[in-house]
Amino acid sequence: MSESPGVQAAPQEVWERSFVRAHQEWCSAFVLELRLRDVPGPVIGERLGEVEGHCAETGEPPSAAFGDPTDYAREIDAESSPERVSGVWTIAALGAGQVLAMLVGTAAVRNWVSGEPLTYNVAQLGCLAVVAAALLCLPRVLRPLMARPWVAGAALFALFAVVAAASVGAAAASGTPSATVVPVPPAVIAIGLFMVVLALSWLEYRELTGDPADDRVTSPLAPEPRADTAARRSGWIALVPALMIPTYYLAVGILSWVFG
Amino acid sequence: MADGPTYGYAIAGRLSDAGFGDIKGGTLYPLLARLEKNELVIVDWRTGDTGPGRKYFTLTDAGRAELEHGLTRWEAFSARVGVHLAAGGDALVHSTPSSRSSA
Repeated sequence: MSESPGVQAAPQEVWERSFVRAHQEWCSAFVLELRLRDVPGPVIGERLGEVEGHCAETGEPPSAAFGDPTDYAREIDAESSPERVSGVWTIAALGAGQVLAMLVGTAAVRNWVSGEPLTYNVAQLGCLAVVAAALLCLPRVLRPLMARPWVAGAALFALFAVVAAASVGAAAASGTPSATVVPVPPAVIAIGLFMVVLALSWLEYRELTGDPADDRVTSPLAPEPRADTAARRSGWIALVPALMIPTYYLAVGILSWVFG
Repeated sequence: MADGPTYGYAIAGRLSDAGFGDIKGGTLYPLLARLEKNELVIVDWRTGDTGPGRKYFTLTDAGRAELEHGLTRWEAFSARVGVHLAAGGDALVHSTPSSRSSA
């Protein structure tokens, strides 16, 4: 057996490997559990490399050699280095900031169009706080959301429906004498918060794509001849969530001007 | 690993040959990960003529010291158990299962 230390070729993402494609369900569940635990991509790739190498030697499928993928991911993570990436929580915080800025900013656009000052009341602040808390907690519900998408999705939808109804009621009361006037012109708020949304979107895009070589799930094993389509695709995919809220903000602003 | 760098499948094979049964990957690799986390081994990936590659584990100085310490403790424990069994050996051999369970 001739062996040479170290694999010097460019790292290859695990999704391009034939072993991972052949055992897609097991490998996806394993990677997902480690991702939810904020384990860095290369560490996940190394753990999956151990599985692939071992299964190649024994001829067993991963389910026979390593059991349930989620249980094994928890077990191997408990015994591994506590190194973590911020990923999921940073994205959640940036998303929550964007949504809050969008809710207040689009309300300011409507007041700008109608020439009225922006007002708020306690109920509106309460609704904003609930929305922010729900968005910040999203990483906590990701696991049940992936395991039972319909049940968890319905619960989330119900929460947002209640908050939306409360917001509408609170907005209707915003013109009453109990409401407090924001001492800043609505135009300044609308434009300023749009800038904030853009800045947060840029940060989110950088978080999703920045230093991709640092956090991609790369395999330490000898690369297989495959086109690097996943790496080229990732930049475009990251644009969608990053641009979603600025686009919605802009659309609501334009519609308010056109139909306001 | 005391004999030099080795990899998971080879370790499982040696344990099986020594009569420890079929050690599954799900049991073996978390233990190796613990050794790695505690810096008792260093690892490196090597390519071979066949297969996608192997992760080799090599004992560090700390790992070798821990091995010596563990062996010493195991020999002491094993000797103590041996002496204990030898001292009570006759009683164990001549007792009935029911008398042992009621003891």
